[in-house]
Amino acid sequence: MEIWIVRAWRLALLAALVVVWEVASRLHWVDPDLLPPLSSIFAMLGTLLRDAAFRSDILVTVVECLTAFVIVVPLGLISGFALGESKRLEKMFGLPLQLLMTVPKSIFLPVFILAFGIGFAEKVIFAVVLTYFIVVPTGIAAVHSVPSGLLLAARSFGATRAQIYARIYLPAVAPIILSGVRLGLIFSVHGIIFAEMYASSEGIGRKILDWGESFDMKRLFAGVLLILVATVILNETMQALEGWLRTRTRFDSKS
Amino acid sequence: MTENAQATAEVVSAQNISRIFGEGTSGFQALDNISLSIREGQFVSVVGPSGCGKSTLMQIIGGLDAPTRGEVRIDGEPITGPRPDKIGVVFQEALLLPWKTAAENIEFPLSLSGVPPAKRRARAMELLDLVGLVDFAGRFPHELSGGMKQRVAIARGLVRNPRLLLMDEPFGALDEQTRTRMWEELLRVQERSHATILFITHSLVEAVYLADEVLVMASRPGRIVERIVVGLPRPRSLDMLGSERLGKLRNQIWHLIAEPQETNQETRP
Repeated sequence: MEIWIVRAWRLALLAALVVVWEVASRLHWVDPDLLPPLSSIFAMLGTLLRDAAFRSDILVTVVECLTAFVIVVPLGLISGFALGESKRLEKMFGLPLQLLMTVPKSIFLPVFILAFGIGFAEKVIFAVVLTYFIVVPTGIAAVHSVPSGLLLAARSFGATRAQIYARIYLPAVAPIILSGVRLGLIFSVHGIIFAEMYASSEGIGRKILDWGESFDMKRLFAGVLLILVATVILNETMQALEGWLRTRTRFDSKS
Repeated sequence: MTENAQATAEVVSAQNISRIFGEGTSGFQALDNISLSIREGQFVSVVGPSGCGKSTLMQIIGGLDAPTRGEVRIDGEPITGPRPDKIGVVFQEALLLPWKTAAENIEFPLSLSGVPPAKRRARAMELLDLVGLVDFAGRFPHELSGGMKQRVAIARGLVRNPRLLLMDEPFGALDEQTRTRMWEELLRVQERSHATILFITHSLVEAVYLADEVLVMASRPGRIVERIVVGLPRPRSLDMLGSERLGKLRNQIWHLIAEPQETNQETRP
């Protein structure tokens, strides 16, 4: 099917959802207290965004997310590179890492709160731990994606170690690294908002929890919508960049 | 060709090469006391069973691995590391960089040593012409067939006009038909470039058909058991594949490779 037809269908579906939501609420097919009309939610979002207190909550969340992101991406990728390159490290830490990956990290949140107290450090550390286990495998995959013969070939062309890293490894692993960066960003947001909802005095996660508990559906949906749109845009932008890089750096399985 | 070769300069000389992996009694002797000599313009094949150390030998001659004992010289100069100015290498896999076009891949070794872009592009085009891929200069590896990719790899091996082209089972991953076409291509390239070639393969027919001289290796430890002068006229043609001479040589090599292994099995407790 042609791409514009697919796109047209997707747009139509989205439009239908918007219309059904608006109409269902306005005609009382569903309780408007439970599901307020979409237009009123957008109006509320506008009001919220003009509110300085809410903007400072967003700022808190964004700063936390970026802090976690800036810590976890290099940490995770470098661990992944080391594990991918060294058979010894892989033997030592491969299995424990794999086991920890399967564990839901949320069970550790109360421990972090006890250890670090409620606040910036606790939330960032939780997000870093959650995200670390997602970024590490992309680091390993990046190293493994470069055919080992290529190193030998590069040496035969007279490439220095620096040239091998800069001219072969780096461009070869760029799309996978970007995919690690993308996952790092998304899961940092995930971890921070979760930690805010669990225990926090500020941040958008905290606000969403409050609005939910006080049955303030308009504000609740506005907050949900804001995060939803922001993360989708983030993810899609990075994925598009990644896809563009990937088509340029794919190694064939055969020669 | 071999008669002529006597008069030409010696390009490669390997003296008593041994390679032992590991230490002491647990050490594994991959190569034992290998000596060989290749003269300018000669095409020499190395053939042997898998695990006989063919690739180790290639890596040592290419300066990518160091021998435990012995010495390799190219044009009389001892080899102690990679010498891209003297030796071009083609591997079993084309190993092209997927983000570079065919022309850029050929230029890559030149770009590493800082040759200006215009100069290296001109050289790449010359070589693309040599391997018959001028129209594919701007294509990326994923747009090329397996045979085309290997031709680009051969062109890249020749880009610095090396004294020796080392080829390590370059057609091993190709299908029968493509491989036969690649033989024609390689013979044509050699005729036009007068390259000196050391060609490693496990295919007996390929070893004989392409070369002036075949070195037959046996394993455990890897050593040269026979040096065979092919003596088929040049230029070679595919008709020779069915010739009596080629068949005879092929059988002779087959027995050299097969027999020691059979006796091994008989004497095994």
